Amino acid sequence: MTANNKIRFLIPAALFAALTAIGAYIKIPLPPVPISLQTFFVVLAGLLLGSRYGAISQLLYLFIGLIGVPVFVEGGGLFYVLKPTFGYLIGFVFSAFVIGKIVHGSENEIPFARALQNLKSRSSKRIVLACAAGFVVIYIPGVTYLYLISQFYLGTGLSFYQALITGCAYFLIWDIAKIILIILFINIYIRNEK
Amino acid sequence: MEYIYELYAIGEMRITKDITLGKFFPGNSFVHRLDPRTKIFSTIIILATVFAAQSWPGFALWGILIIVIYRTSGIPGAILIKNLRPFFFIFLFTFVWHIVFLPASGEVFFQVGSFKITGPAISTAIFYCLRIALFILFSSLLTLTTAPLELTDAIEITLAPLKKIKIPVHEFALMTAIAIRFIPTILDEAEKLYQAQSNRGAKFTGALNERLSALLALTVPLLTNTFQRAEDLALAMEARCYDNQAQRTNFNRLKWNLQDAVVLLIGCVLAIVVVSIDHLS
Repeated sequence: MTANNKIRFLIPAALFAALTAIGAYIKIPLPPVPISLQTFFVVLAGLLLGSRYGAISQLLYLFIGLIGVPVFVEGGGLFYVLKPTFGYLIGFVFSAFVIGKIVHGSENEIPFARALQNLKSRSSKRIVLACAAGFVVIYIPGVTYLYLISQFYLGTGLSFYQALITGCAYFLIWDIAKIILIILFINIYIRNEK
Repeated sequence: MEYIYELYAIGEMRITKDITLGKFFPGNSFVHRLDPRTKIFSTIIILATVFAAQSWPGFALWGILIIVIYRTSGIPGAILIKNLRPFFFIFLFTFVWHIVFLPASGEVFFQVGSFKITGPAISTAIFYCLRIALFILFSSLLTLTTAPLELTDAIEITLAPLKKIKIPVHEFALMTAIAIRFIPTILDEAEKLYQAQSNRGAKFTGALNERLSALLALTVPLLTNTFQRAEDLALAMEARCYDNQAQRTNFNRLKWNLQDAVVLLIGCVLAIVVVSIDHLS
């Protein structure tokens, strides 16, 4: 491997973009709204690829959707930027970055084996904290985008508080379920890797 | 390039998802044959103008243009309607909100008690809905007539100067190609794992904890296999001395023809006309 060759980082990031795409198709029918596995893979991207390549993988996911591959929940294409929910997808990029930063510290480019080692040595508390921070980071651009789109593009005077209620309060419960799933996942996955 | 995308609604019958939304529609029309760069630039110009549009004549001009383009590209009307469908609630929301909550003063069109609908409110509501529709139609035109990898190539070539300031444009294009290539493969794998684990007794329906553990039984091997794939691919590329710093050429060369220049020119002229109409009226 030459010093410049980043292929060992690029390919896992590309495949993680594909996994996030597939996460949109895997839905668990839970009342009242079916949850998809998308955010699950977003968090894993941050945990397993680290901050830089986690964020790149999510950026790639966004890009693929915008150039017309149907990887978003309702298809794909440039017109998706008009959906009020597009902000959450932007949030994915920041979320993976923040999670990577919290778990792996200042290490930017982490080989897969090193990421697993780091995860093994980190306390569950730190991982839970990282996941929670990651979910919060998804909502910040998500709600802001919802607000901006309805304010300036649809021309409706939706207040920020209303946007917050519609865009966030509802999903919080399932995010907690997802954090539990992620912790279980890490325990099993890393135990199997030994 | 034809992929089959399916939706796996775990615990329910599997539904084939009808994803034609914004998806490439193969064809050999004039619009399809244009250089993707032309299409990207003219789309950007038009979208900016539509976004800034403030008058009805400008809208009418874009409306006629979009109809003409869709007729020449040979894209069936059913696909257009399908593209607008996910926005149904946005249209409804915008329309109702404008009429009910933002009553403009003016001639009263309809009145029940203190609730009234005014003429100007209706016209603003229609104005906003039309603007959204135009935006959606123009932006889906780009992805309907250009294959994703063609677009990636065009963007890579356009952004190539950014390599000078260390932005890895080529690497990003490579990753795009890899990700698009592997989506169907991983999706297949997810389906196989889903069936295999159900056969072994994983319950994708049932109590919440059963579902969670079934989900783990699906995602753990999915992730392990994906990383194995990534490893194999990286190894194969390294063994063939792949170097991302190397100068490469593309199998499909993009060609900038006279027609591209003409189309781009027409786009610019129209944009200027619409903007000047806006400012005169």
